[in-house]
Amino acid sequence: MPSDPSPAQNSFGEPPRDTQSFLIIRDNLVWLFGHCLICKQDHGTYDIAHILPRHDAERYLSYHKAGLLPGSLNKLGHTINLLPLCRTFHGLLGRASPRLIVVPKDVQFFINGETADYHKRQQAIDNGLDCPKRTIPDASEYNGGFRFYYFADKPPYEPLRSHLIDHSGEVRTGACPTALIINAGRGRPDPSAGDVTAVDKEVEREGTPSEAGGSGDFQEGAGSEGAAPPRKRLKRSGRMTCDAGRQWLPYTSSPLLLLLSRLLPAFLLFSLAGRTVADTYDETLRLQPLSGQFLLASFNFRSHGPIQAFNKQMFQLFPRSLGQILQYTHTRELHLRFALGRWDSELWGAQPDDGQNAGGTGVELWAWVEADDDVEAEARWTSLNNALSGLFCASLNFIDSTRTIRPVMSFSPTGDYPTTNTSRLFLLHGTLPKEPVCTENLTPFLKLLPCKGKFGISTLLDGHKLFDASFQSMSIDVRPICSQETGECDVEIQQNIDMVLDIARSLQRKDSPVPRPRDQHELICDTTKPYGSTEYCFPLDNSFDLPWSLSDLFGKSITGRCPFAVRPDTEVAHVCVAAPRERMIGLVNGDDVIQNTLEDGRRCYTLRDNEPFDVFLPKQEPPTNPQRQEPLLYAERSFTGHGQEHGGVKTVLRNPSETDSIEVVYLESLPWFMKPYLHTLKAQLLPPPPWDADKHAGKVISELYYRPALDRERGTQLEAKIVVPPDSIVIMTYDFEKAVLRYTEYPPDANRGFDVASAIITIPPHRRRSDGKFVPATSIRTTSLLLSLPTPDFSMPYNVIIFTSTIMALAFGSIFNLLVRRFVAVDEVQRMDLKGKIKGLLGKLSKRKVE
Amino acid sequence: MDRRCILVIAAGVLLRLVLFTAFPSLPTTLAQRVEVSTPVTSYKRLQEGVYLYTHGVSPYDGGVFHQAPLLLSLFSILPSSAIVTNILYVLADLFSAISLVKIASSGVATATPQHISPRKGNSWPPWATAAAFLFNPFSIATCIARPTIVFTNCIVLHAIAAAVQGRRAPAFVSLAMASYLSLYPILLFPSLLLLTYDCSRANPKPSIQAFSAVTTVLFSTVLIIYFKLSHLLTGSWEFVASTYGVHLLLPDLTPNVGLWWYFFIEMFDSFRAFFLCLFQLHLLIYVPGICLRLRKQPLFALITLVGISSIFKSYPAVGDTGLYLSLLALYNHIFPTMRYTFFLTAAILYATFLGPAFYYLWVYAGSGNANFFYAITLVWSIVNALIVADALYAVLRDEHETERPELIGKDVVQI
Repeated sequence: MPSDPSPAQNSFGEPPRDTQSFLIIRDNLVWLFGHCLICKQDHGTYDIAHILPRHDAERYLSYHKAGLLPGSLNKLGHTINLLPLCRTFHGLLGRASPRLIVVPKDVQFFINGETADYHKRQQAIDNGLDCPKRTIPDASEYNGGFRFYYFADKPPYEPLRSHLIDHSGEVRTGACPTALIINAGRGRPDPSAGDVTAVDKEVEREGTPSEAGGSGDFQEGAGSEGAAPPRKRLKRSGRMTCDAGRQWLPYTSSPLLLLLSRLLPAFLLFSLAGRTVADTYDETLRLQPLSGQFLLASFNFRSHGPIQAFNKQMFQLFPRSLGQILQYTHTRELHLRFALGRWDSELWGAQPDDGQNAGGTGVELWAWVEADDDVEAEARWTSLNNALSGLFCASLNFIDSTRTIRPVMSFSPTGDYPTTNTSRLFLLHGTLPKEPVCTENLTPFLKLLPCKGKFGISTLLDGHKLFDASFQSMSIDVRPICSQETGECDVEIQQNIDMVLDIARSLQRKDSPVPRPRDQHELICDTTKPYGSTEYCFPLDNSFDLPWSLSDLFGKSITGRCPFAVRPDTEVAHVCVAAPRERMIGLVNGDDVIQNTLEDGRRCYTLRDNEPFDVFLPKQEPPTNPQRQEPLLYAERSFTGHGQEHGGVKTVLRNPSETDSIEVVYLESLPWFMKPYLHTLKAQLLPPPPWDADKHAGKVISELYYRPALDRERGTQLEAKIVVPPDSIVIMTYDFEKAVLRYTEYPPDANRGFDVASAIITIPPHRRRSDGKFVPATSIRTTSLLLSLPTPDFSMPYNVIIFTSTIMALAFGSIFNLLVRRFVAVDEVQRMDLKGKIKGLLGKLSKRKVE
Repeated sequence: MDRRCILVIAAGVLLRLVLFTAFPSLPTTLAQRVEVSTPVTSYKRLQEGVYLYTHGVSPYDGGVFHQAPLLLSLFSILPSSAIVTNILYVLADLFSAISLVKIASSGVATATPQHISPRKGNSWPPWATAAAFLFNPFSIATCIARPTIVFTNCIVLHAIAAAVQGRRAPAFVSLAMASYLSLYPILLFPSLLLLTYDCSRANPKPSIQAFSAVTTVLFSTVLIIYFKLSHLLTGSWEFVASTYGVHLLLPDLTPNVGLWWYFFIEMFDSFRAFFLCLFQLHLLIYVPGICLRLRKQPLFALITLVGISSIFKSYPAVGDTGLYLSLLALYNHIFPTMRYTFFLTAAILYATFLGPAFYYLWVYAGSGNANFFYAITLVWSIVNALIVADALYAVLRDEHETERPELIGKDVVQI
């Protein structure tokens, strides 16, 4: 940087003497003394705030070197680096949280400026000239106005609040706009030191723009090589602000945040690929009454953004913590499930989303990891588990080789891999059936959401309610999806929570936290029973539909919409109630909520900013009949036998369809200490087929993949392709033996038993033969099983060592005693022990007597 | 072989056949008893191995099957009918009984080139020895439960029968097979060598050094052939770790009548390797001492080693004890010099009846814990060890009395 007004190297922090009056005039403040730029009130005194802090000269120099600051800002004490603020806001300007930032309203101005400047310089390089210095718009060139934003975890205290609400956020100032943008990106609430230095290093690298074009780092993704200098710089501000948007919660009206999140990511993407598409985010809540006064609440959160940005670690709505883990471990597709409870398919019918979002009891994880060979895949899988374990506060690090399987038939990738060689993708699957899923797993789950459970439908997700449900399942799926037309790929993250609430139980919880039987006058008796009398009541369930509202069931209503979950052109349905058409639905407040009744009777609502949303369904008599979708297959699995030595497993698969047979893949992952005997595996068909039963037994299981367990190294994997004929039952049984473990291998509650992971039944996508209807891939999971093993006495180690060693010493001693000693007659030897001596004495005495 | 022998053997075979046919569920029930079947001999595991082998899965890449590949291929070519298998096991017992008759008929138990027992006249006729094997409840239970130890025992007995006839090649080919099948018979090599040498009728007799060198070469060559054959059959060396590694390292801690399982359940992880080495060395250490001290009676040295390994090997079963007790019947002439016969008989009955009961209390009823069964295995082991020691005492006393016939019937002490 030769012809630069070089910044002063030392003692440049102090502003000149008459700065105060200068700033008042510059920023058009009315009162001469004590006026603040933000609250526009006279405090009697005011501070002069440095936009780039004066104590951090080093960083200032690096920004300057990178050409991010206009030449006029040649020292930190320069007036364009100063803002007149009252004491309150001065304190907030440099803080992490709560935090005040002031940014230009017209970001496009800077984008255009950068583009023009970039082309100018590119042209100069093309013409063989030296790369000219980057030009940065000055305060005098920009006249688009400024806005201020206030970020905080909680509402501000009163005086501050009135300032924030009374003002539109408009600010007029003559301060340096780029310095303000940099300031907005600085000092994030949890700055990981490495990250900050990395950013600074990037800035330093940019110091020589002519070199930057050659660096391979900049080539990829942009489509136009050499676009590095502006991209780099914009990426920086874009990413930081984007992160700011994700990590702080807006208190002031959400358009502020929206603006920030929309404009500055646009910055980022513009610089990336010339596209103006940002990450898109949708969230929907589907409420569906189920038979037996249950309610299924399905929360779905889905966001996707370009894969190039993801690969460059420029995360917008994708959670950075998860994204970095996936990149570090080369995980291309991730599926993580937390589940509790049992889905009662007899009562509730098929699982939502064809069971694709449900997991087995506990934690289930499967992923496609890209690697050169098996060993590398295994290592990456282990580090993935360890990292996710920390992220989700779950014991995922206990998924070791004994709990990992490599399914062959059950899973196939759901993402698109146009460029990846699929032979380099390794599928690994692990389960932790014993893991108690609880609120410590929910909190990190919510943190991955853009609105973090503070806005939108996720405000309903409260640990107390979620884990009180009869069934609940949380899932996270990350996969690449590619557009068929353009071939462009996105990374999609889908988070899902399904919960089945017992409406009566939830309502009772609201009335009294302690469960107690219903009062007699609340009971509805079945008077049709001939044996009924006035004395006895036969309670009649389901005589009417219970009245409920969201706030009854969840303890609160939805607090406005998540500002990311909007589409510029269409109204998005955020909440849908899939109640039967005849069921009445009302809104607690707000008639202006957009309501849509779809063809299938679903009623959908769009949330509004900052407006709480609550829906209520009044008592309805006679009760409506909730839609119940017949599952494709009913599956049950149980243990047979008694004792802690041997046992058996019995799986019952029932095909309810009267016309179509169904082909399923049955997968079991058994722990190594449960040793199945495959030769005892039998599949029985009920009703028995007309021809010879033995012949048919082979046909029920058409394909079998079996990998036997190795002690302490890996578990058993059993995959079977089974055909269940229409309206019949397949009973599959096999025997197993229970191993005895070392006493250190038992868990603390050894006599409770060991959990055996759910069997996974996958129905591949197929076309139904009878009506030609397409059936998507469906999966069903059985419940987990509790296996009790024989236990040793845990208090015995020393005793056992001593007893056994004594026996061995005894045997050794007596045998070697015989081997090494020789026989003599008793009377040939004087016995030297006490008995011998006494005998000898007696002998002598008797001899004397005889004499 | 006289008429009585044939009668006894026929009765023994008939008894087994009757038990197999009259109680069809008995084999399955007994096969699941931990006292009879161990992880390295269990018939159910053999079936699993054969099933996996015939369906193209390597049974050695799993934690269930730990038996030798030749046995696996034998069973995979057999028709999978229960009758054929049962007959095979009965035949194995039949051959064992014939071998015992041969050993008893040879008279090596009472008279060897270096030693002639003064109680020679007291010994039982061969049919009684065969009866002691065929009607031994431990042998019967073992035959009905069909663990593969039956074959090992049959081959060991055949090796001894060949050795007492001085036929070296069959003896050591058999011993190599027995060692190949279940590892521990390799401990019998030195004593069998001495026995074969003593009984060899070669003229002139080679020196013991030359004889043992040739025998060792023969033995190892045959072993190598067995291993190579197994390698050819399974296509990999995986079976070595899965078969012999299990005997040596004890990964499967299923209860049995031995001392190892509970010891290594309760053992601290840091000492596990040390005690594994110690337990294996403990078995090895008896071999030189017994072979040297009982040089005059190598058959008894061999029997004592069978007895010791039936107590201290890693996966013992009652079948091993059955073999030892049957072999001990060859030395019935020294029973009068044993000191604790009544006590030992009572104690072995005590352990036999209480063992299953305590196991039931622990594993099924849940009213006892593992210590119940452990205590019984301690009693069982100590009783067996005392039988071995007492028989050893009796034989040594007998030997001593040939040197000093004046001490017959008098009290002796050891100094």
